[in-house]
Amino acid sequence: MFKRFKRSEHEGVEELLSAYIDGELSIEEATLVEKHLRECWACTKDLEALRQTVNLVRQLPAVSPPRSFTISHLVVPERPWAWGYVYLKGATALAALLLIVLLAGDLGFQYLWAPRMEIFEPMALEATVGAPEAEMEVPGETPPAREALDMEAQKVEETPAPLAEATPPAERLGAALPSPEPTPTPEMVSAAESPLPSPAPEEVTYAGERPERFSAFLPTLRLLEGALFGAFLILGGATALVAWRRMVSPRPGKYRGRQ
Amino acid sequence: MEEEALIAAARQGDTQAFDQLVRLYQSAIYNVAYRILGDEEAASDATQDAFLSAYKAIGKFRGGSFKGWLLRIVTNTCYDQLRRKKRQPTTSLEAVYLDSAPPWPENEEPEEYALRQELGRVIQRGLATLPPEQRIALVLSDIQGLSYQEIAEVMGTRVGTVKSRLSRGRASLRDYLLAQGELLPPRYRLKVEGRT
Repeated sequence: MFKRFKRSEHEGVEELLSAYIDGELSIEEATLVEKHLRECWACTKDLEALRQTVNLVRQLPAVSPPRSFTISHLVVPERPWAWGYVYLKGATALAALLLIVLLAGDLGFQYLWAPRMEIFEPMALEATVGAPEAEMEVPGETPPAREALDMEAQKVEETPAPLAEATPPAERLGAALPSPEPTPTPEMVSAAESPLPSPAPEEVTYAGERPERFSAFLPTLRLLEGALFGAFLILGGATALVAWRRMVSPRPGKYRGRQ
Repeated sequence: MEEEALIAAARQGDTQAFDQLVRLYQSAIYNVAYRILGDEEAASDATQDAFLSAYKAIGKFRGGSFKGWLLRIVTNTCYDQLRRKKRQPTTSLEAVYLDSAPPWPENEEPEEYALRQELGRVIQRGLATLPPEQRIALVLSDIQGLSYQEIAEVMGTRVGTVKSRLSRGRASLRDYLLAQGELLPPRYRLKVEGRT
């Protein structure tokens, strides 16, 4: 006896057959399917064919892998100290770079900038040593402003030499204009040379302070350079040590299981 | 548990420990890749890629089924292969016949063995006719034996979607095998009375 079903009911049951085989239907759904199957021959056959298909697939022979898929030979095992090593190298490089920059600035000033100050005053040095004749030649060549500049620079350059005691450069800054030291006074020089305009204080002090400011930094700079060099030695040594250890010992396997 | 120890060691970079895991699961993973992609070379590539990816990503494994996690990786690898090469899994007879066959068990008659081989080839051809999602759901369910929930996790989708994909895939494969009725070995031929 065949009961005529709506097409939609057939389709609805068809969709549920797969889950029915797996026991994944709710009680209501399973009851619906079984009721329909009792009265529908076509869907019963469909279910039977579906069961056979699933069983055939489940019985498929396993394919054996054609080769091994281990990965040891494909990856480079991470060596110890990986993270620290990178930072060590970076820190060493940074220390070296800073050191080079400082040294370059230091030497640069000593050999490039400072001599330029001397160009303004090659004769002034000689004058203090005791060659007033040379000084006489200067006025004709040097413009007045430069002479004012010369005097201040002269004081800074000359004080260490003639003075027996070592005067800290900072004190020189304070005593820039009126100089009690037995150096050729501005009056003496100006008397021997053509009349000088009064030196512009800002111009003179600024020009005079530049080398003085740098000299103020000198001990700090030396200290910094020394510290950086020390840091560089320590960091570089640590980097070399870690590099050596990484090279010498390949990473031991932490798992000690059967091989 | 030994597998947990292996995984922990592998996380530390121990490739030997990871290779122990590879040896445990490579047959299952290769089979899944083979049934999805349909040929040995593609399946080998996918399997090797999957294990390499798994090693590199082992830090992200948060526990649970390690096999399920591996299956997810190989499934995605197969998807990538299918998309990249726009490859249809091979349906050529030549490729199917050249693939390595399972070893011949001692207690099996030659005819049985041959029939099983032929069955495997026919089913593989049938799988190749399915769209990738249905094929993967079917392989995971009926070849790997995963539950609907496990399949949903591997495929990154919902159980309802798995049910529907599985249902359609199985029905299509059934219809294919019925249509091939004349080619199937008599023993395995689907016999459904009244249906041509």
